Formats: sequence, structure tokens, C-alpha cells
Amino acid sequence: MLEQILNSEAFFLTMALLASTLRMATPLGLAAMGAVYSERAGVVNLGLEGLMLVGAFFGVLGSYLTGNAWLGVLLAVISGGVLAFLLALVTLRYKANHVVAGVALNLLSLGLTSVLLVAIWGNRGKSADVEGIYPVNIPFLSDIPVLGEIFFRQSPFFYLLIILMVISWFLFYRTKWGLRLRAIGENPAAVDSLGIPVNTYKYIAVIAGGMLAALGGAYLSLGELSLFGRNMVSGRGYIALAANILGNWNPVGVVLSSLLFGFANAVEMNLQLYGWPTQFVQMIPYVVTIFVLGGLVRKVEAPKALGEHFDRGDTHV
Amino acid sequence: MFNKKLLLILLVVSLVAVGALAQLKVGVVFATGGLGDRSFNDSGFEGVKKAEKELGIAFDYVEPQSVAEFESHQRAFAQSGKYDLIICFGFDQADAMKKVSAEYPKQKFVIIDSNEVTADNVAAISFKNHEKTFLVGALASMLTVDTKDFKQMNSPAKIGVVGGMDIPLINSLVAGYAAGAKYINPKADVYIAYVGAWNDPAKAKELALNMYNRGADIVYQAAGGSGLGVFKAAKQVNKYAIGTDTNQNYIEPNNILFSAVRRMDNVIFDQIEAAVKGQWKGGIYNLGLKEKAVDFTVEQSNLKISKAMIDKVEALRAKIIAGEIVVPEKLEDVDAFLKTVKR
Repeated sequence: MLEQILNSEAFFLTMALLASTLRMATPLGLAAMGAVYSERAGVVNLGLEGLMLVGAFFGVLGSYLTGNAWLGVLLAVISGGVLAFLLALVTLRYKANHVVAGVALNLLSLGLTSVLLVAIWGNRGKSADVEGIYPVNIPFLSDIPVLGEIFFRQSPFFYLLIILMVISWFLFYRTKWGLRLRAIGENPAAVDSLGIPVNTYKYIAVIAGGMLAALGGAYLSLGELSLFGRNMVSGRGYIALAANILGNWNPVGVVLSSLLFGFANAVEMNLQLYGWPTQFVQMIPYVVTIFVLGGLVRKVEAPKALGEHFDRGDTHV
Repeated sequence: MFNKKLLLILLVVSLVAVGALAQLKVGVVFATGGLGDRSFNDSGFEGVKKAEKELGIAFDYVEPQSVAEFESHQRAFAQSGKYDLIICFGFDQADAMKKVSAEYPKQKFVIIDSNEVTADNVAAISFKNHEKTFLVGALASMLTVDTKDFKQMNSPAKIGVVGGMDIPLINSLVAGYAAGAKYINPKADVYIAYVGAWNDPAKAKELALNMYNRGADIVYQAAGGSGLGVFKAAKQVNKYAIGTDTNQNYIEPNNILFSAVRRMDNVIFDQIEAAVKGQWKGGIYNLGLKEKAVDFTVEQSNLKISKAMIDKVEALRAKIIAGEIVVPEKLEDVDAFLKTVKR
């Protein structure tokens, strides 16, 4: 009986569906985790799309220049940090509107990567093929039937996502640093009155968020394709932002919500092959978003001081 | 007195005409992708350069950065009065051209990829892309059972196509592909899926993997920049893919069998040649295999297709050119086509 199920086509396709879910969810999860950092510190991060794009580009560039994909990932993370520093600078120091600054960041990233693409590879559409980062089977665990196949034969980026989720959760909810950061997002004046350097925390959180988003972008280029394609993030940054809200600004929550979006995507792709009308099927991920954000599941609560400017010595929020 | 004046005018006009005959001048307004795109603009530019070499024409060109610039570039060329022919690339130049061509009714214009501009001084050119994909679909359908030459083929006629978006332009490609595959083998399975974006190779790869997982041997990409993901999927599972629009065989020469191409170079050259010979005429042109405006190519692929197969496809090409096969342009017409067509 069991044998029959394990060998059936339906079972095989279900496995493919789940594996597909994890692949679609990984970049969303990493970028959404980045949003958690930045937004917990009170900085709206609409620049996720651009941060991912820059990560995708510099990941490939690093791999191209050094021949080592992991050095590419390192360069991606650095580039995301640098760009996020720019976002922090204009929003925190020069008090730019967070949303406008985020959109500007996206435009800057698209322009920058498109120009460099032509300058380096002489092609408007794609980079050269580079050394990528391929799925890794975890010894022993990957041999477990079903579970092993789904969870332990994945891209290293997926394992990274899970590790970062655990670390982030611990950081946010079990350390002094995390408590302070969360408090800054709620009421920076109160934290400031305790003599804690609010802006330093904010800078660190935004930069860390940028690095995570860039890691998500590097997954797309190095983990999936081993090349960079123009504007290849294709709106995932915005979906990641939705995943962040749905995940209630919580590191574990965003991974779960990213999995939900990934699943909706995987279902969409599979239903298309069964001849369901495309327009209807392609709606699914977005309908899921609307229903969930519409409060169907539960109420989400944003950090209270999200998007607001703060100066040392301010007494109100 | 009057006669003298008329004579003078005639003389001047004929001098100008002779001068124009000596060297025809062409103005080119490229699409926003610009030169270096290894696609649309570059292949059209080939045609212009060929005309320069073989017909001795002169040309100037501009590369607009945005749709908003089209109108001013078109007008600048027309206003100068120096250009015999102004060639504009891309359907999004149509709105600007409607205006400018009406302002300069004596100026000859060519617009590529649009059938919207109807004016005597405009040649509006679109492509019968479904004719080339018919050949490609037929060849793919034949190859899936050719397990002798292609070790990776595993199933009877299961192929797929990943489209960019569910829009009429892409659907005509898909319809031709499905019709070609089923013309060869009515039992052929054709998986169809759309990315919903032109710049999402990761999703296109996932869609193609899905098809390969279900037993498809060959997947055709008609998804612009997203299509790169289809090639990556083919490489990953060691299966086959088909390129689109320009020759993409070089991208993964061990996995891409052939590419369905648009011969922009031929089309542009023909337009310029007609102008040089004084045979140029405005109107709506829908060009296909017969005009050599669309085709497929196996060049630069490392995969060798037997001559017998190619011969079969060439026979189909002859039938389409002769009008014996009329390739359906819409997916919903494919079934009716299969019922009525003679094999």
C-alpha cells in the first residue's frame, strides 16, 4: 500500500510542488526578514526590490571576478549593506520621506545594474554564466523518505534562511539589543530618554536588513540561474514587504508567510499545466495576499513609530 | 513667361530627383532597447548596414531612451526633409507616427511591429510569427520520437511552451507551435504556461522544470528576458529547449536545438531596396515565411538534426508558402485547423 502511494504519479507531483514551494519562498523569506530588521527600527523599507536587485547583480559579479560563488555572495551582502546605508543616511540624517527614499532606491538600483551590465558584459539582457550555488544534500537527513527529499536536498540559501530565522528570533526576543530595537520602533523618545543611542541602532538595523535582502537577491541569481538578467527580481521585493506585514514583523512569522506565498505561486504554476485559465490562476497569489492582509486571518500590528522621523531630545513620538 | 517659369521648376525638381536617386538617405529611430540588444534593434540594423553596402545608401540613426522621445525624433527627421525613408522600430512608436505622418504627408515612413497606422505614406509591418512556430512545433514533435539521435528523448511527443504573457501576440506563437506539433502527431501533448512577466527568469525556470518533470522533452520559450530561465532548466535536467526571436542557440548550445527567428534584416533591407528602385508603397504588410520575414535556425547549436527531419520541415514550409496550410493564429482555432487540414 505505502509502496503504491510512494510510487504513484500524484505523490511525485506533490513532492515536486512542495520542492517548488521552498524554492519560490526562499528569496521572499530572506528579503522579508530584512524588512523585519529595518521596520522594527522604525524605517519603512520600500527599497527591498532594489536591494535584492543589487544583491543579485553583485553576487554574479563577485562570482564572475573571483570564480568563487561564495565570494560572490559576500560581495552581494556588502553591496546590500552599502545601499541600505544610503537609505539610512537619507531617511535618518536628512529626514527624507521613507516611501519616497525607498522608491528612489529601487530606481537607482535598476539604473545602476542595467548600466553596469552593459559596461561589464556588453549585453543589455544578461550577464555571462558564472559559478553558481547548487543544492546540497545534507548527509543522513536527506535519506529520510519524503521529509528528507523535501527539506534536506535544498539550496544552501534555504538552510541559511532557517538558521537566520532562529538567530533573528533569539536576537529580537531574547537579548537586550532586540528589546531596545523593538522599543525604538514603538517609542524612540522613551528609549532615547534612557540614554540609548537610538540612531545607531537604527543604522545598524537598516544596514543588516539591506544585507539580508541582498542575500535574497543573490539566491535568485546565484542559487537559481547562475547569471544575472536585467531587472530579474521582478516584483519579489514588494511581495516580500507584504510577507513581512503578514508575518507580523516577526522573523518566524515572515518565514511562514513567505512559505504561504511560495505555495500559492507553486500551485499557480501547476494549475496552469492542467489547463486552468491563465488569468484566473495567476490571480491566486494576489488574492491570497489580499485576503490575508484584509485581516481574514488575524490582526497585524505595525511598529507604532514606523516611518516617523526622530531627533535626539524629542519628547513625543 | 509662364512656360519659362514652369520649365525652371521642372528642371529644379528633376535635378533634386536625380540627386536623390544618386544616394538614398534613410533615418532610423530605434526602439528604446537600443543597439546592443542582440535582438530586435541589432538585427534590424543589420538590414540597414547591408543596404549601405549593397545599395549604397546613407543613413542616420537615433536611439531614444523613452517612449516620450519618439515623436520629437520622428519629427526632426521629417522636418529636415533630407530623408527619403524614415524607419521606426517598435509598436510603441505608432501613436507618435500617426501624428507625424499626417503632418508630413510627402515623407515616407516605415514602422515595424505595428498594423495600426493606416496612411498612404506609411508602410506598417507586422509578422506572421505563427508560421515560424508551426515549423518549430512540427520539428519538435518529430524529434521527441527520434531517440536514436537524441538519447534524452523519453516519451512520445510531449513538449511545452513557456510564454511571457497571455496576450494575443504570444498566443499566436503558442497557437502555431501547438498546431505544428499536432499536425505531425495528433496525440502530441503540448504543455502551455505563462510567466506573467518578461523579466522573471527564476519563475520561467520553475515552469519549465514543471514541464520536464511531467515528461516533456522540449520546451520552447516565448518569454523575452524570462526565457533565460527555460534554458537553465533544460541544462539542469539535461533536456532540450528552443530559442525565440533571434538566434539564441549560442546561449546553451548543448541544450538549445534551434531558434524561431524574425528576419528583421531581410525586412528592413527589402523596404530600403523598394525605395531605391522607386517601388516603395505604403500600406499594411503582414509578412511570413513567403517573404522570408520569419524563419528558424539551427546554426551555432551543437545538437545535430538529421537531414531527413529538416527535409520534412522544408516540405511543410513549401506547403505554407503555397497556401496549402494556413496556420491558425488563435489557440481556439487549432482544433478546427487539425480537423480540416489535409496531411
